[in-house]
Amino acid sequence: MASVSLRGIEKLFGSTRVLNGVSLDIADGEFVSLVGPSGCGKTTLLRILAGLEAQDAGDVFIGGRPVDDLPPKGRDIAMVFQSYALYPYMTVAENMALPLVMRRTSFAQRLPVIGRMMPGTGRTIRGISDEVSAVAESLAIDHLLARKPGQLSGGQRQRVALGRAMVRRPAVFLMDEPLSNLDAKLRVQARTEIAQLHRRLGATFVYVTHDQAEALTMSDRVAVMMDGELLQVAPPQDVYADPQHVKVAEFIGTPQINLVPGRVRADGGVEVLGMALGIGVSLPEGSTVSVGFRAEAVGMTAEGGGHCSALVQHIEHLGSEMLFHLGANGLERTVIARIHPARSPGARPGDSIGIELHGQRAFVFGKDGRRIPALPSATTHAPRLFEPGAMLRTASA
Amino acid sequence: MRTARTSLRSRIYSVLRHAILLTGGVVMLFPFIVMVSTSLKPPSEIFSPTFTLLPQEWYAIENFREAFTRVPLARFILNGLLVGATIFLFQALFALPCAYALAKLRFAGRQMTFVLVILALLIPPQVPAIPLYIGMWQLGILDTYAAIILPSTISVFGIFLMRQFFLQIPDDLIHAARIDGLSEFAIVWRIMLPTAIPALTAFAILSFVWNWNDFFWPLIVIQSEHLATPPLGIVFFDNAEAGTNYGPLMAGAVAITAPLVIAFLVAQRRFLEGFAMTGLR
Ligand SMILES: Nc1ncnc2c1ncn2[C@@H]1O[C@H](COP(=O)(O)OP(=O)(O)OP(=O)(O)O)[C@@H](O)[C@H]1O
Ligand SMILES: [Mg+2]
Repeated sequence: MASVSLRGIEKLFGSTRVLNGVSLDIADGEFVSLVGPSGCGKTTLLRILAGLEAQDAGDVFIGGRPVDDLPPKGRDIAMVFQSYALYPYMTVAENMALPLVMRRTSFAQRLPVIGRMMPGTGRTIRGISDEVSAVAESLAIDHLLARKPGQLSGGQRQRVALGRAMVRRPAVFLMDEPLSNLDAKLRVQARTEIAQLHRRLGATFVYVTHDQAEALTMSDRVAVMMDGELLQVAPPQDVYADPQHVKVAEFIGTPQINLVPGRVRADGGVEVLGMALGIGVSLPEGSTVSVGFRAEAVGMTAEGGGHCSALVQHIEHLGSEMLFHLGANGLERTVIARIHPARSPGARPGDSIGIELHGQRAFVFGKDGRRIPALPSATTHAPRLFEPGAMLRTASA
Repeated sequence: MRTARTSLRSRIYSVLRHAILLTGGVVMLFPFIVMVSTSLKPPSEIFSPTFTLLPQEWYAIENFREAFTRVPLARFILNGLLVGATIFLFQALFALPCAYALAKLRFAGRQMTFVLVILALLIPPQVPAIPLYIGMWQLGILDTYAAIILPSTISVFGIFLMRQFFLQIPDDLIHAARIDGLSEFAIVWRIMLPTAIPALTAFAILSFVWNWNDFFWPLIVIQSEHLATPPLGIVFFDNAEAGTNYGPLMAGAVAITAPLVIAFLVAQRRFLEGFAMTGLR
């Protein structure tokens, strides 16, 4: 088992900078997801970690050892590819056995006819096929061993790819969107299986995905990547509840976070649409900020109440919750509120209502997109928000 | 009404199209038909002023027996097989690693190397004939199998064709192989070669047919009858007969053409598949 460290990794393709000083420390046995939009450099980073691509600057350590000069096979890693990359003309058994065959047999032993006659070949081959069967059984693909990859379904291919990575018992598993070719239902199931696999094997997992649900449900820590930089590396609940960058806040969470323009007052209090939110920042008066509210930090009140009035544009019924799309006066983007059906105000599309913005649960971001720590502001135009219980009353009003 | 008219029209066009193609086909096939027909006829009929497709008197057995006994035709065919197969094996041995490097490895001068390959494709084989001949004379290997085989062991066309095919193999397959511990040569032989079988089959047929039919180079380097390839052998035949007995001559021609035609008919589908995959069709 091994820890993984990346130090200041940079990568250029021609003159385009794809990775811009990425540093990340992954503990032994940890499950870290690398999540970010398409084209942000996740695959490139994983390939550098695997030794398939050379970085232009920075170092890679696996198990505390620098591995920059080691080829992929010397790094004690295994990789599962998005396309699975199974060898098309080999059977499942041969696919899974190949990494072991290449490691345990000599060149002479691998020769077609002569190899079979070398002493010990038979025993080694039998040992390998026993291990392959054991792994195949643990993945429930032992009945597929004689088939070719072309004769398998997407989910079965994904398991074979996983099996080929597992047989070697590597210290680090690298996975590049292994579930993106599966249908939605299978993906949820496979998610659980990979998480269980991680617990069972105790190996270090680096898991690349652009699906935030995968990243949030499976990992110990999530590394959010944008344009070749890691913006935040934190446990799943923290990237959701405590985003350090406006792009992280926008990327993580469904529905997308509501971002509204704010302004800093003389006393440091933050106001939105001219109304104080009850939080302050240490920025000069008149600074413009961006204030983020998760859908559950937005409440609805009767028309005329709250921060501003709004028109209900659209309602999504999701069973356990309802999403109200609200066109607020003075805001460019629609605001989305997440309401429990039991507390639904009964508004219909076209109704006018009031929007309640819960300042205590808001995130303030500066011009550069970085999070600005919020302090309770000294003076506020809504002092009742400070009384415990008052919030509940307004929320249910 | 309208549909009836368009369908009539399209039918006329279709008939016309097929008539033209058929005429072209007959014109192309005619020499071969005459060849086969002549090989079945006795001398008296061959020179008769009226042409008939089938002979009045079947003379095939006599003609073919004559062809196989007058000159060592079987030996020529074996020579053709040996030379063709050996050349192809060497061509594959060199073309596969070269094509892999050109398609999948990144190294300084790759583009330049590929340009050289393309340039080499443009050079007709007759151009280097004299220097090659002199070189072989100096090595003292004229009039041997090696003299026929050696100049063809590297096929730039093969390199080009296999490179086009390898370009379509996903990089991830090679990445997976590297992680699984295969060396670059192991990747060529264990991963690329089996994947490339359709393209390689297409190339094998092209290469074999070319070398089977090649007349120019064996004519230059081979003097001994027992080393002759089939087309050269037919010439020995011609000389021996002073060119009057066309029946056995055509029987010999049929005997050396037939293996290729049969091989093509058998492998036709694979052959076309191979080309579809290299994007050359
Ligand atoms: N071999 C290459 N040559 C040039 N540019 C490349 C190469 N490989 C990747 N890139 C570029 O690098 C950037 C990052 O690519 P990468 O494949 O790492 O993205 P990704 O985060 O994995 O995206 P996705 O989620 O779509 O897989 C992209 O803009 C891509 O165009
Ligand atoms: Mg990718």
